[in-house]
Amino acid sequence: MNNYTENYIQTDEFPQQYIRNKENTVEGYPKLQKLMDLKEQQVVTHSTKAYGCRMNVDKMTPYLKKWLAEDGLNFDVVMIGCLSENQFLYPVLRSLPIDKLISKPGFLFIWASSTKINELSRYLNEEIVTKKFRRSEELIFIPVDKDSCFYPGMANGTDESLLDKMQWHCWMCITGTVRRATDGHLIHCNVDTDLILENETPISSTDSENTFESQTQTQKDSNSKHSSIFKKNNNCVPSEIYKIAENFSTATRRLHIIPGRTGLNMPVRLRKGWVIMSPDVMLNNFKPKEYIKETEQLLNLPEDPEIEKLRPKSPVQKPKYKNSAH
Amino acid sequence: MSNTVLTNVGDSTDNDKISKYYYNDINIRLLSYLTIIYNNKSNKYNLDLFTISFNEYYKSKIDKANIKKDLETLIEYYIDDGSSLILDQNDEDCLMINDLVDIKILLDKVIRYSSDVKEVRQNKSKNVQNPTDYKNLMNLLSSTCESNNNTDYNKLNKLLNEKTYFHKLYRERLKHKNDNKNFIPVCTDDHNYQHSMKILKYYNINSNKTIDWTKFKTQLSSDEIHCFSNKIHFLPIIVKNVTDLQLGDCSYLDTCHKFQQNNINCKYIHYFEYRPNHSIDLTHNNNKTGKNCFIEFEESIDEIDPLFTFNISNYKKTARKAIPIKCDIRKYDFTKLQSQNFNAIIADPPWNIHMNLPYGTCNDQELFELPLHKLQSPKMNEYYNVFDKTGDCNAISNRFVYKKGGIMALWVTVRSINLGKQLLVANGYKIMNELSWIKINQLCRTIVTGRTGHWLNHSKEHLLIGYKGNVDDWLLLRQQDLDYIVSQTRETSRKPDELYDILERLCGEHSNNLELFGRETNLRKSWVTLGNQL
Repeated sequence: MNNYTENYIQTDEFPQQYIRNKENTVEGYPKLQKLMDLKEQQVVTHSTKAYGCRMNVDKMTPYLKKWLAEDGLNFDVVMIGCLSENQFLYPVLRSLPIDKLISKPGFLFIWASSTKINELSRYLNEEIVTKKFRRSEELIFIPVDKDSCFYPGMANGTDESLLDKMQWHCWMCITGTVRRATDGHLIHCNVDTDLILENETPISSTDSENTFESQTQTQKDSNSKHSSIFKKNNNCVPSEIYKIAENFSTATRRLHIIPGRTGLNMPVRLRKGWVIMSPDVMLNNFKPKEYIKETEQLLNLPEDPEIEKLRPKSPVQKPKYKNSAH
Repeated sequence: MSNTVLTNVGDSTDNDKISKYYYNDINIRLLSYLTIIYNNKSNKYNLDLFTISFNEYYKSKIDKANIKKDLETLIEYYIDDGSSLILDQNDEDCLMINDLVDIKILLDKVIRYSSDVKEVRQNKSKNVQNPTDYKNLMNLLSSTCESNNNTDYNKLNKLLNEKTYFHKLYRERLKHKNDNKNFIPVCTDDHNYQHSMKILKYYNINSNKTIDWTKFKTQLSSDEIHCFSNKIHFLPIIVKNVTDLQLGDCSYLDTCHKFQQNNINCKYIHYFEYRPNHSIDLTHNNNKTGKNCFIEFEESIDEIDPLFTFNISNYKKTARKAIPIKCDIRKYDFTKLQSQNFNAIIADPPWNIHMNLPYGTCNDQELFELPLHKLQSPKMNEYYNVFDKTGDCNAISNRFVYKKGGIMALWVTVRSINLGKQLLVANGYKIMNELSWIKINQLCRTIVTGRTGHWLNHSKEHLLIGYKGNVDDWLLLRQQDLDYIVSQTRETSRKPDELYDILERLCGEHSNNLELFGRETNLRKSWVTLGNQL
């Protein structure tokens, strides 16, 4: 068996480069592949238009509080943070009435570099969070190498870390009650895994259908020479991160808060079906009343018989099965 | 704009110098000085004093009026908010700084522009003459992209992230220790197996004869020959009338029990692993003999490796035997081990995860009652032979080494991550890292099937790494390894051996280490293994 860790010490070649399903995680499993395609299609066809909400970090909580009180604005999926180290996660989370902002059942995803684990553990152990939320999964994201725009370079220099840190970390929390065996209309379990590897295909191009810009159109037309320029044109949130949330919950009201400036090298891009709140988001078209009206009609994606047939389900409990058989 | 620059600092004569300190009408030095004096809460500054200290700091002679003018331009035109920086004229010229964020952002922008824009502007004037030229526009875009990476901030950041030479030397040393000659990369470009299937033309699975691919120069391209003779390839095994290609790959692959019993029992696709014959590589062997000489020469000199005298690990040149102790850890008297001064401890406790498992589990209470705090408590260590500082090899002095702390690596499940952290903290450890073991299968793919987790499938497992004592003792040996392991899965709950290597790289080879809840497969030289299944 190959020892990739030893190989890294010897040759500085990163272990993840030898993983063969980086580009397509479900390679070799046609049924899963079909499920993924169907789900992606369904999410796109039923999602709202892309919303951007541009504001400074210190304005986020006051505005969300205001909309919550005046308009009753609620979300089912809230994601906080992106793959950038310049984030004011703790201050924003502290001030946010997160239990009220997220409806029940609801899902919370918090993304940060591993330097922030201790800081965020403190937040997650606070009473408001532990009472209302259940820490359900821990996800990680690993960039291709140290030249990747997602390499958390700041993580090592200043702290006492024993290992060379390269991971991004995500806590997935659930509020309210959902049961994986019976609540198939709310959640689809075991579709994705808790690991995301950055792949070499430029993220902006895989996401081109969902982004708004005319830029992506030119990109499609352009030949490979030009697309290499666009490789640098990254997104501060790889689309896989959104996909996990979309594949898991069937809810359509999704909010993404990016509490910090991400800079020119990692712009914030829009995504259909999400409200993206950031100081740097390109579009500023969010109006709570209009949004509530638009989402009212369809809070959860409709059940699709083909997806139901394909998606992994909990086994039917044995004693029940026996009774019905006899 | 440039006019304002000149009028603002009329008394200074050197124009080149001025343009260095100004970007348009923004005084860069003033901006950076504001960020220097600000100390996290709102502050009032007397403008007279401010001017004096500013001049003192930059060794310049700018009068108060000019400073005031510059400040006013900043407040009026650039910091739009109005509350972060206030110049209060009623109150005898008082400057108030309430918030630094806007100032910092401005400073960052200004520095970036002033250092880069000059070059880009020159480019622009050349290229934009023909703006319809798509290619030129693209080049221009990419050049601006690149120049952004060359800001002082990025340069500084790169410099700070540079590893020390000690770190690099240790890495060199590690490279010499092993040569990982068993490592054969897997072909990662072949997704439809079109490429691998070519092997079948020349290779007979049953005879298992190695092939010299250079013989087939005429039939195969040079790339293919290189790939086939250096990399592992996977060949799908298709059993006639049984294998259903529509179903795809078996989730268990080489560990499929059904298929191992009889290959007609499993309809999914399994794979044969084609390994190239690697002994042809002669250059590799030459290097190896060189390395051996180097190590032997070193061995004859000293007992203790000078590299490791910086840290307090019990580094020895020779490995000790593996020591198994069969016991019920819940009842074991840990004081017996107290004198051992273990450097690293691995624990893989059988967390109770409410599932039927082929082994007994401990409940959380029992784990928290373990007297783990006894294991790496501060201790005066046995005598060490250390060379005298004068470098005289004969004058070997004995000294006590005060041994304190060590590393504890604790495997946890998703449910018990938080419990694991509490357990480490309760026993005096500080959590330093969370290592992930990325599980891969025979085909070097991450594991995505099989409902391996409650909400999402699990492709990885977590290991918490805690540390006790003073981290500076280990400062020089840290961060050689990454915070994840990519390794193939083996029997249920068997963890990757790579972890031993990682801990030994941190603590020194042959250091004295302990494993709790170990099994027969965990026995290893220089490790003491405790467990009830030994």
